[in-house]
Amino acid sequence: MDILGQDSLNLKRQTNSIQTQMTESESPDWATLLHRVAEKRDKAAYTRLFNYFAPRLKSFGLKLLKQEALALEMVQETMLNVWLKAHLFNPEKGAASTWIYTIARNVRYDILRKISSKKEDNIAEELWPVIVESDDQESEFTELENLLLQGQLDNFYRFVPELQLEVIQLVYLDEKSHQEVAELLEIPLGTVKSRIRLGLIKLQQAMEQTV
Amino acid sequence: MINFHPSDRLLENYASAELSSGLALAVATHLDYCPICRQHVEQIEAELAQAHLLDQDSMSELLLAQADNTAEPDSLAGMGNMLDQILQTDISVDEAEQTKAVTQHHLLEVNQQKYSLPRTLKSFYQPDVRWRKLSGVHTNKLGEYDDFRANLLYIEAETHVPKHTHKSLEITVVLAGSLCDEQGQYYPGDFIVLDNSMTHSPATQSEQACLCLTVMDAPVQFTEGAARLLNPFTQLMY
Repeated sequence: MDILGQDSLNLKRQTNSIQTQMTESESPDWATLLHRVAEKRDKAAYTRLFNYFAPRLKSFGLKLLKQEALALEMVQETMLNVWLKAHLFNPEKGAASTWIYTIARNVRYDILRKISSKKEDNIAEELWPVIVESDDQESEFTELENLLLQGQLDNFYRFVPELQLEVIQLVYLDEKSHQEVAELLEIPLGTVKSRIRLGLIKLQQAMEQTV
Repeated sequence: MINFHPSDRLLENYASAELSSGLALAVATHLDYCPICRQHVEQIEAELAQAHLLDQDSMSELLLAQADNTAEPDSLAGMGNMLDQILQTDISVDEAEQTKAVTQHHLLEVNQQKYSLPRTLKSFYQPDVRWRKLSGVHTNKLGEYDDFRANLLYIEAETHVPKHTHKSLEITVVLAGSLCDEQGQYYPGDFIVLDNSMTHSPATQSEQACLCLTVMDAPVQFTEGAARLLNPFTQLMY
């Protein structure tokens, strides 16, 4: 039970030489192979990734899940995500192996959840957010979004440019989806997303300056 | 400003996939709010990826395991099929999923207030699950995972939750608004651990409701005989 203690006396951080480890051992350039999969659906590049990582993931899965069938399910689910979501890998955020590891870890939690959930819960196939998103920054705004929704930011609207404020009000107060806003204003979806993002940053700055 | 964090051991166990999925849900939700813990976990993940996926040791262990496991000679052949299957998976499957995500309703509504959930919880919340209300406290069940039950808890402004003890363990992560108890005042992202040695009486202040995630040992479910009659009592909110 002591893992739940909140004091930080028991920390044994091993921060030694992570940086060097990360650079020296990615010898076949996994990041480049992932990039080729994302850009060109390069099957040869993917096959190299698969041949290297799949057996290692299976060995890791066996340690965690103890059963061959579950370990194979973990490998399949993880490697399928690598094939379909390679475009979400962001090399600036970390090594390719770390990205793949994180997917496997989340798949493992998803498998555990599926095993333990009661059938009558009628759950969706896959609930755990398996993919580590690279371009989607939405979680950093959750707190701000909630203040906005509770009407606690009305005083700061004047700091937000009109076009951005319009989109923010449509999304948060009128509850339109990004797609609906794009159609309504006849602007691209990407513009909707960037206006929201810029507007939220403005709101956050305005709020921080008054605190 | 987040003042209450998971212990380092808990973060390590989360990163190494050793937590029960219920506890992992609470930790992942805290990470959505807390850049400090996120950075720590990323560091641990890089080390673990190194150990499990890159080091030569992990491969020699694997070869040993396979040598021992002669009863399954076709396990690598099975992986070959897997590779073919994956390569045949159409990318449009993924695009369909993305469109679904875009059209999905993105807000939660309770007591006429609207909230945006952190990334981790967005996919767990099912809008068709009914909120249950008991004197100012609304609950919405997310699910039961490995003996832990996860609920969303919405506490109306100026509400005192009656003093209670937990059967064994309850973790609360504040999602929006603010909450206080004998130990302090909690804000979004704060990670609060309570066990059966502590009693507490959380409360909200005026004009400030609180939305949180709670993960606790699931109450016993009786499935047979006369004991089923006890179920309504084991399903009370705490």
